[in-house]
Amino acid sequence: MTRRRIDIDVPTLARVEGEGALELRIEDDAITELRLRIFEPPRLFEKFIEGHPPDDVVDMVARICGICPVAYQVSAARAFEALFAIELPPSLTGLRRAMYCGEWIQSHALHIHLLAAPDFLGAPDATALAHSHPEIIQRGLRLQALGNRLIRLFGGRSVHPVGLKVGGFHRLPEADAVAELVGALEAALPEADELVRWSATLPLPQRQQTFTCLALDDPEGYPITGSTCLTSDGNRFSIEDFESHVHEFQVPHSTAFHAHLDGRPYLVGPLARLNLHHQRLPEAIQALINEIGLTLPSGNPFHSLTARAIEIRYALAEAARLLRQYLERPARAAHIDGIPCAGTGFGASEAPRGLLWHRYDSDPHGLVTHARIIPPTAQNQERIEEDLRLELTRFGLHHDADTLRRHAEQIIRNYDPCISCATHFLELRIRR
Amino acid sequence: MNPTPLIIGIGSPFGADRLGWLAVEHLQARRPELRTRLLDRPGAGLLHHLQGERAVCLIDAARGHAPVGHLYRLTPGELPQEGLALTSSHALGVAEALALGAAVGELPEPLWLLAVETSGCNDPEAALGIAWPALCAAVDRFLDSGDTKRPRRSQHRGLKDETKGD
Repeated sequence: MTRRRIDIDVPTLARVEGEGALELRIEDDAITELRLRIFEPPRLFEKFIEGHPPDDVVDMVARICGICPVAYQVSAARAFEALFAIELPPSLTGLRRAMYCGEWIQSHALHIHLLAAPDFLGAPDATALAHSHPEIIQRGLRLQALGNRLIRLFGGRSVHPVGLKVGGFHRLPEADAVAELVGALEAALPEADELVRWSATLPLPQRQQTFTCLALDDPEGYPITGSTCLTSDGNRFSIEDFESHVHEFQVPHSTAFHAHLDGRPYLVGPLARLNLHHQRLPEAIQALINEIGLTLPSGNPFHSLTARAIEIRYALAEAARLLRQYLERPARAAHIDGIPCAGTGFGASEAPRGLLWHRYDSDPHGLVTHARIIPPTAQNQERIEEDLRLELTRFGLHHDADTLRRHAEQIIRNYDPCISCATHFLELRIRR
Repeated sequence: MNPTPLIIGIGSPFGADRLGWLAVEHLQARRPELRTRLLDRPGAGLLHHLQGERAVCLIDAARGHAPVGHLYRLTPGELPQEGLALTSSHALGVAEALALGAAVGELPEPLWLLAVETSGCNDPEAALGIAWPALCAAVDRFLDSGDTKRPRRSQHRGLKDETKGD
């Protein structure tokens, strides 16, 4: 019998956030090696924020990512607020939540329309899709702009905003600007309904996998922030105990840590949130989910795209609700001051790509002595590798290298990995 | 439709990429009546700043093969098309945004892009200093001509060469 060995190298995985590579070896129709390689040099953020005061850190960690800076700022601010016993009034937590909705809207709109949609509409990339389906790209750009507008309302700018601080905000938004944005958010709801319906018409691969989901449990509703983690296995633990459940480890082929939850790969992100908390969505959205025939929880990783569409719909309505609330009962102060102290603070929030956990140790002046940040993409790496093994085998390893490469890229892209956050640019090598 | 031409500086507040901002700040000081805007790495958001505008001139730093301070004048169709297959939303720059805008028919006409070569130079003031006379002349032409002129070919990889004037 002739032995078959194929090595496939895909040096550039397209339409993912950041830089990395995938190496795949197939021997006798079995995957013998599969490595999601992240080779960007370590960015050392955790080290160089040492010695800085909390408000510096809130602005510094925003620089980790140009797509999800608000998530980094909110997780950091919440950690210091916990450490300095600062309790934000509901008016300020509501405004934080509204700002965070802006980040979900812009990030998800970008991923669905510019990065993922070409995979399902026969276009090689977003520019080609803009020629064949300009209305789809236009919708994506409109929604992204609305999300960015929401971030700018609080942060002054949408990339690396500067409005957040420990204890609240540097300033509160003007009522006129808020009222104008409420109108724009509410006007976009029908388009978001259509987005959800459209997402259900895409020819997503139909498959079922078993995986554990992890998301925050948010007392405010569908999870954006929170102090407790919930898993699909029914486990619940405090973010202070995160390190005893989530174990990070190094692998030779990646400069980003991999992570296990209680010894196993797991999923964070929009589908994990939706699987765990869909019952906490408003009735109108649950009706929409029923209308499109989405059964939850879903074991189809490709439903991440549908989950992003649903979260855009949710975030638009939620932000409009919170901003209306602010107009009716404005916050008294932009922030609450705390007294710096020595200790350890933990903060977490649900970045567009999933749970983002921060830990800071401080000296008596509140200066950071040690920091640890666990981003969602680092947590999803093991799950992505697991999904690739399962799905490529199901898809059929007899396919030619180009077909396998395209399918592997699609699988990875579905997780919307932000490799720059985790450490940049994906290169795929398949060897047979 | 805003009839007043808009000049947009693209870049960031720091480093060599600050050149676009710096150029617009100096142009504003030279001609205070100018309508200007500074954008920090706007990505696809650039398209929203172009909507409703009649005439726009973008100023940005460039890394090409010309000497530092060389001024290129480009039209959207002349931007490099290789690699427009958006490998990442982080990689969505001016060329990609304008390609998307052109594909969906949402670009102003005229739209000029003036780019100053900064390769190997970390001092945006120095690069801008070299480009300044040509930049001022190009911006004046943009404002005064209503863009009836077509730029001439550059010697540098098909780019329009504005450094030596028309």
